[in-house]
Amino acid sequence: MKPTRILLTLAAAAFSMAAVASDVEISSAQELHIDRQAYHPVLSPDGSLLLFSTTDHTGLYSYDIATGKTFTLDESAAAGFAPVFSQKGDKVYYQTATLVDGLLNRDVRAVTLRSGKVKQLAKPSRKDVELRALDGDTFVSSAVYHINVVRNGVTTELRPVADGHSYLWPSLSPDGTRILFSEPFQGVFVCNIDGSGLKKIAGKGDFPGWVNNDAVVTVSTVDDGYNIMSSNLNLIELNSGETSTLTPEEVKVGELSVCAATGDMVYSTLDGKLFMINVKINR
Amino acid sequence: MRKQLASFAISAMACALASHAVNPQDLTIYINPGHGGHDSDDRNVVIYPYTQGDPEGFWESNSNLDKGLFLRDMLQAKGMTVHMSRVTNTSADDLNLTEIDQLANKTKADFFFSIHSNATGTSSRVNFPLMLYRGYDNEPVYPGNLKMAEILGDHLYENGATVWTNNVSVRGDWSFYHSWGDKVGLGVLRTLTIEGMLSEGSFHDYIPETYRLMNPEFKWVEAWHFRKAVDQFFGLEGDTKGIIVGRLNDSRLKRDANYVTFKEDKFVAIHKAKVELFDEAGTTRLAEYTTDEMYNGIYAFTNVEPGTYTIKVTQDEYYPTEAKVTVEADKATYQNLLLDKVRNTAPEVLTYSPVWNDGDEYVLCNTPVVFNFNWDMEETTTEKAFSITPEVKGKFVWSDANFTMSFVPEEPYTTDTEYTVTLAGTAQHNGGMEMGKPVTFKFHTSDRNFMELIGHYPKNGDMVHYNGAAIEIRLDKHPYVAPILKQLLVKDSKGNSVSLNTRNMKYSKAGDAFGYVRIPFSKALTVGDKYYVTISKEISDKDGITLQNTTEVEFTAVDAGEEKENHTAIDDFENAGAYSLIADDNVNVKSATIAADTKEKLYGASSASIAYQFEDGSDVAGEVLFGRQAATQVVTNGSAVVAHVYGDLSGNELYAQFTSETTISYALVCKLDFLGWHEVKVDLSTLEGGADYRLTGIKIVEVPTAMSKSGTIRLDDIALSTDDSGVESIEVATITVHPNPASEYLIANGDATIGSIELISMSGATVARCNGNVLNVSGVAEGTYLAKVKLATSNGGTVKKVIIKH
Repeated sequence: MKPTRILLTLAAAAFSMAAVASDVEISSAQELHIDRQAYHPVLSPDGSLLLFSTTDHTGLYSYDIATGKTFTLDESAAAGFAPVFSQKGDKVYYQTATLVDGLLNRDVRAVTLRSGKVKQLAKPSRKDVELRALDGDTFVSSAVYHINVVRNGVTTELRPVADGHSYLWPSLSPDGTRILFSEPFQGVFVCNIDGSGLKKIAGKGDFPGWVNNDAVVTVSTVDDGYNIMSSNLNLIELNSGETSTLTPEEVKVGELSVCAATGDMVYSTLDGKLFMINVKINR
Repeated sequence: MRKQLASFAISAMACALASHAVNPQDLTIYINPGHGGHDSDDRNVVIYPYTQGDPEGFWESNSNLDKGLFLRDMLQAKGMTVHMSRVTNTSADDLNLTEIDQLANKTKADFFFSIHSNATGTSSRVNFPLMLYRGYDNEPVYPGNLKMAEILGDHLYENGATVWTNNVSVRGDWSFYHSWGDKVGLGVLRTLTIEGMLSEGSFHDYIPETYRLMNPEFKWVEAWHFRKAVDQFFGLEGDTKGIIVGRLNDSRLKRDANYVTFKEDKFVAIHKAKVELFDEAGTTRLAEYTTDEMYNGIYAFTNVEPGTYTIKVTQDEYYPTEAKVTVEADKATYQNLLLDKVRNTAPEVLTYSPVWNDGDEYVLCNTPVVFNFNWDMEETTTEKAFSITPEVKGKFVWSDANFTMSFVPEEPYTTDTEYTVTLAGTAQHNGGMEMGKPVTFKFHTSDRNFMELIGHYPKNGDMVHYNGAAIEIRLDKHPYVAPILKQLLVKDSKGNSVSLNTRNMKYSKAGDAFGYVRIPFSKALTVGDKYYVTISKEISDKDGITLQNTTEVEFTAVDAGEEKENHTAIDDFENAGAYSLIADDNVNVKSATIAADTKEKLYGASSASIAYQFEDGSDVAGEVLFGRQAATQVVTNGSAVVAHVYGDLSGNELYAQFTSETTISYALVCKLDFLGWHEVKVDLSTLEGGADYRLTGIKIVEVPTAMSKSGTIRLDDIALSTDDSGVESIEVATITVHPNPASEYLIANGDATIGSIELISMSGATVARCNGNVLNVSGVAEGTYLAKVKLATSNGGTVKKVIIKH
C-alpha cells in the first residue's frame, strides 16, 4: 500500500479525519444558504441542481447551485420523498400523497425544470408505483425487498444478499457495471449489475453514493431509539477498504446525495442546513 | 405560522378519515417495536430475581417486540399486509431511525406504529398511556395521527388489569419535546410520509407494571387494544369473540417491596393460582390458566364466545373464590380478584426490641419499639393493642408485609427513665384471629436525648466577608455527615438555593474535642445581599440523636477588606517575623506559632497566621502573647482603630497590647466567635487618656468552652481609621459642625449643650482641643481631620470629618 498522503484544500483541516485515505482531496464544507430549513437533498446527474424538501417530505423545491436561487416545484404532501431525476436532468418525477376514503393514495407527477410546469402522470391510487427514469440505458431502484434493474427496457429483479432482505438506496456506479446499496440489517454492499460478486464494504450505513468507480460515501448513524445521537459522513475506498470520516464529530449528518460526475456531495444536518463538499481521488 | 402549517397539512391529506368501511386486505400497517438489541439504546429495568443486564430480565426491546409480533399476527389474521422494522431482538435488527422511516415510506403503509413503554427518568413513579403524534398539541401534521392517538389511547386506558395513576395523555411531539427545538420532535416520526404515531403504552419503571410486562398475555392484551384501534380507525368489523383478563392479589397481605406501589398494587400478587373458566352453571370446565411467578397475578382467557361464565380460582395458601363474568363480542371483560389467605393459627410475637435487663447499658432515647410476628398483622387492632408507659407520642411503621410493626417516638424519650411496653392480646392477624396472650417488657433510657448545637457561624445578624466564606456548626458529638447537605441549607434574598462546596467540606473525627462540620460556599457571596441559613433539627449523631430545634440565621455579605481612603496602617502584618512568642506571659500554652499566610489575606502579600493550643485539664484559662517592637504610629484612647481578623469560632478573646512610656494596656480587639474575615473596631477605652500609645503585641485569652482549647486566627491590617464607620458611634443628639472647610474657627451646634471639641489628625494625634462649642483652628495646618464633639451633659457626641483650609 502506498504511504498515506493527505491533500487538503481550503479549510478542510477543520474536519476530524483520523484516517483519511491516500491521495484524497477534500474541500471544506460550504453551506448552501437557503432561506428555509432544507432536508432530503438530491443532486441532479450533472450536479448543477439540487432538490430538497421539509423534514416530513412535504413539498419539493429546487436550488440552483450556480445562482443560489430557490424554486418551489410542488407543495404537496410527500412530494419530497425520493424524487427521481430524468437521466438528462431536465425533469423530476415524484409522487404526492392524499387520503381517499381514509386510505393513503399516491399519484405520479413530473415537473419540467426549465418551465416549472407540473404534469400529473397518474391519478391517485393505491397501486404500488415505482418511479424510474427511463430516458437512459440503465436504471436501478429499490422495491423494498428487491432491487429492480432496468436495462434496455428489460426489468430484472435482484436479491443479491438473499430472499427476505430489504434493499435501500441502490445506485449505479459511474461506469454502469456495479450496484451500491444498503441492506439495513446487514450493512452496505457492492455487487455486479447482475447481482453477482457481492461484497460487503461497511457495517451500517445509509444513503450510500458513488464518488467514482472506486470510492463511495455513506452516512453512519447512532440513535437512542428516539433521537439521533451522532451521525457522520464516511468515505470508503473499495480497493483498500480504508474508511475516512469526512465530517467533524459535532456535525450530525441527516441525508446525503452524491454526484459522481463532479465529486460534489451535499448533506443535510438535523437542524435543516445543507452543506456541500467536493472530494477528488487522484489516481 | 403554526396554524398555517396545520391547515396546509390537512388540505394536503384532505379527505375524511375512514368515511366508510374498507377492506382489510387493502390495508398495510407498519410496526416498529421500539429499541432493540439489549444494547446502549435499550432500556433494562432490574427486577428481582434478575440482575443488571440479564437478558432474561425486563428489557423494553423484548416487551415492545412481543407486543409488535402479537399485533402483526392479529392484523394478518384479518388479511392486512404488515411490515415490521424487526422481528428478532439483536443489535443488527435494531435499525436506525432513518432506515425505519425509509422502509415505512417505501412500503406506503396506511399507518405506522412505533411501540414503546415509558419511564419517568426521575425518582417519581406513575403509570399511564402516553400517545405521541407528529405536530403541536391538537395540531397534527396529518389529521390521522391525532385521531389514531386518541382512539388508541382510549383503548389502552380501558385495560383494567393494570393500575393507572393518571389519565391517558395524547400529545403532539413538537409540544411535548419542545425543549429539543421547534418542530424537531421524535426522530422516528420525523421523516414519515405516512400517518403514524408512537405509543408509550405504560410505564416500565413503575415496578408492578414492569412485572406485568413480563407476562405474555398482558402484552397480548395491549396488542389486542392496538388491533381494536386499527379496526375503529379504518371502520373495520371487530372480533366476534371477547376476552377475559384479570389480576389476582392478596386481600390484605402487602408486598414486601422497596419500590413504589399504588392502589391494589400494594398487595401481594398471587403466584401459581389456578384460574379455571367454567360455563355459567359452573359445571363444565372450558379453559385453565395458571398465574406465573413474576409478581403480577395476571391471568387471561382469549377467544371466548360471548356469554356468561364462572371463574374459579384456587391456590393452596388461599381460600377458593369464584366470580360470574359476562363476555361480549370484541370486548374485554376485566375481573380482578382479591383472595383471602388461609391463616389458621393465632398470631405470636416472635421477637421484640429493645431487649433490656437490669444492669444492661441504657437504651438510646430515640430507639423504636419493634415487634416481629409469625403472621401478617391487622394494623388497626395491633396498633390499638400497643401501649407505652409513661405515655409517648409516636407513629407506627409497618414493614415486611405487615410481619413487622415499629413504634417510632415523635420526640426522643425522656432521659434516665424506665418505660413499660405492652402489646395486649387483642392484636389480630389479617385472618381475624387474636393473639390472646399479651406481651410486656421494660427498658431504661440513657442520659442524653438531644444533640447540642454549641456554636455556629454565621450567627444571626452577622456581617460575613463575601469571599471564601463558609458555614460551620459545632456540636457536642460528632455529626452523621452523609445527609448534611439536606440539613444545612442556604438561600439568598430571592429564595434561591446557594450551593456549598462539598468537596472541601471538613468534619470532626474521633479524637476531636467536639463535633463540627464546615462547608465553604461554592462561589463568592454578593456584597450587600442578605442570606438565610437553616440548621435543621434533623442533624444527628451516629446514633440518630438529633438537635432539639431548627435554627434559622440571617446574615449579610460584606467586603471586610474594602479599601478605605483614610486607612493608615499601624501594622500591616506583612512581616509576621516581627512578632515573637513572649513565653513569660503565657499561661497554659501547649503550643503557639505565628507565620505569614499568603493565601488567606485581605491586603498586601500576606497576613499573619497565629495557631495556638492551650493545655487540657487546667482550671485556669490559657493566655498566649506575641510581642513586637513598638509600632511607629501613635494612638490614644480617642483614636479610631480597626483591625482585620480571620476568626476561628473558638469563643476566645483577642487583645492588642499598647504600650505608653509608663503603661502597658490591653485593648479588646474582638471576641473570636466568628469564622473568616471581619473588620472590627478596637476598644481603646482601657487606654489612659492623654497618653500616647504604640502597638507592642497581640494576645489571645481563653474563654473556656469545649471549643476554646485550640484555634487558628489570622490578622491583617490594624489601622487608624478616619472613616466614621470605623469609630464607635455615640451620637445621641443632632449635632452639626461648621463651617466645613474651616479657616479660623470650627463651631459645633446641637439640640443639647456642647461640652468640648477635639481635633484629631489622621494619624490619631490630637492637634487642638477646647471646652465649649468654638474651636480656634487658625493655627492648625491645612488638611483633613476628625472633629470629635462631646456633649456637656452626657457621654453622647459625634465625630465629623472636617477640612481645615486657610
